[in-house]
Amino acid sequence: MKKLDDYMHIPRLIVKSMAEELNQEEQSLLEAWLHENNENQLLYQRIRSRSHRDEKKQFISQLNKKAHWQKLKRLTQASHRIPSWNKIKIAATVLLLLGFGLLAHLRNSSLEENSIKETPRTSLLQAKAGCSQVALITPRGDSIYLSTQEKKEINIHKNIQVTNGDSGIVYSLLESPVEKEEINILRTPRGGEYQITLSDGSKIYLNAATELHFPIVFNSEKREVFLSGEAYFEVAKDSTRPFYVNTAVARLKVYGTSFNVKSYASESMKTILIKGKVGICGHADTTEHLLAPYELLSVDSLGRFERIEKVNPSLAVAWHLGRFVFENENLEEILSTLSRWYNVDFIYKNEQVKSLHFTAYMERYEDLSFILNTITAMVGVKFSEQEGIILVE
Amino acid sequence: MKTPSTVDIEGLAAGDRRTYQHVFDLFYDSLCCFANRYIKDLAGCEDCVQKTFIALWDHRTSISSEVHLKSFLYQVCHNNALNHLKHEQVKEQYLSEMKYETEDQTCFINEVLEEEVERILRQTEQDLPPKCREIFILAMQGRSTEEIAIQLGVTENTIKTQKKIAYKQLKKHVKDLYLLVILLTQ
Repeated sequence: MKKLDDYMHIPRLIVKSMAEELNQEEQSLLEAWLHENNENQLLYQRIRSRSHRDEKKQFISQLNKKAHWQKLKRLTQASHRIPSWNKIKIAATVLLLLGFGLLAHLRNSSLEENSIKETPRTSLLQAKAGCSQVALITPRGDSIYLSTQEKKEINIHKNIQVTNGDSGIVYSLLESPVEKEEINILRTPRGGEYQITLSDGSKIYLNAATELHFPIVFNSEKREVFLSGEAYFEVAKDSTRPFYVNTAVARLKVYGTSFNVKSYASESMKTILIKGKVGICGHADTTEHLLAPYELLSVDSLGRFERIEKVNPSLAVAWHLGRFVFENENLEEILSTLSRWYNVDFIYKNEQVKSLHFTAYMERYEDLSFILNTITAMVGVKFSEQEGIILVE
Repeated sequence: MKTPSTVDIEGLAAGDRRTYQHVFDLFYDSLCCFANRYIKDLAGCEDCVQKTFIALWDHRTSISSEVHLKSFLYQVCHNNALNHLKHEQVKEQYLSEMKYETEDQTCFINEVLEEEVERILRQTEQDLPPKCREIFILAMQGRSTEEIAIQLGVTENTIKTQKKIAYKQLKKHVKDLYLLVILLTQ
């Protein structure tokens, strides 16, 4: 394969030729390169025209070069330097061990003050959850980026009207059947959420880092979607066509109902039923388990039924009402939820804290520092921000 | 302020902070422009370039020459940009559109070459007095001495003198070429 190194003399030749300062030898080197292929000749013409000069200048004028140098200075001076992620963790841990004596006397001042002093503008702790944004992906592979702020119609298929606005995306069938079953994909980023109304009137609220595959129109036999992540479903009644939710580990059969499904990779899948009736069959099981309202059913990551337990339903589905409630969950679960909602990463200074259990009721749209402060106040776990991640102690 | 165009490679390997900063000054803008070919948002570009300079610091002892330094920076920046896209979950879509452009090594090399030419020209421009810079920019857009003279309303001789000054400055940025040519033609 061609190596970049072998071509690094070319820019100088080009520059010199632009200034008509090439000597014979250089001229022949440049020509040799030009004759390598057509693309080189085109490139040469493009470079000579300097058509992007102003655009680049404009772009460069917006860069925060100074601030980034300052940051880089810190990052490369901190230790002898960090070639891998593991070392970052070790270095961060060492720094923390050294730093906590110092931090101890700051204990009473709030977390927000402590960490925001350092990096006022880019603090992760000011992150907000639940901004409404989503990517809609069509079978042709086009991605359409949407937010609830922009009202518009999306052209997916001539027989279907798709609108985007305050209440998310709404699919409605204009004319009778669409012959081919086209699948659309809706994907929320970390820190995002979105709402969609499918062509049968079912409403689905997608939580952060979630993907939903659905046909633009359901066929006459069944309604079937695929989910990865977390979503709250309000399925429209239709006795002739059952509604199925498939996840990586299980298949849910729905009989007209409201329920919440949480199925992130590497976590067990949890389904909470609010009203109606659903049946769940893990991919590794043969029996379908029926769920009654206010019950939670979990399926492990290998697709095996784990258990059914009674829950307070306001807990797990509170997220789509703009609150979040954790009841007797451990810190690791809570922080992994927060990291999805607020698009931040946590690393643990010690493992024991992961298993701390507690209960929390909060407004979801508070910024992250408020929530972390509350956790600090409740259980004494401390958080500090270091170079793009949040350390937990 | 004038920045020398060559880099003290040994100083860099020895961990000299001023050399490191010098490399940053020389390449920061261009690497951001380069990243911008893949990543559309400004913050993403700067983030990606930041990572590139961290990698440079980590590998500073393995950088053997100025040519190597440049190819290292662009190569790492390119990788970082693609990784960034992966994180943004748009890689699939992007790759399907850009497959022919990014996966092709020739194309990557050509993108670097274009960015490098712009970098050298920008740096030369930076070091010139205003009038001279204006003339240099026009000349680099392929305008003839006569055209520039008419456009700026000065004599052709003035243009020639100013061009000489500019080219002298330009040569400072391309001076190690001679050495390289010898190496290549041996």
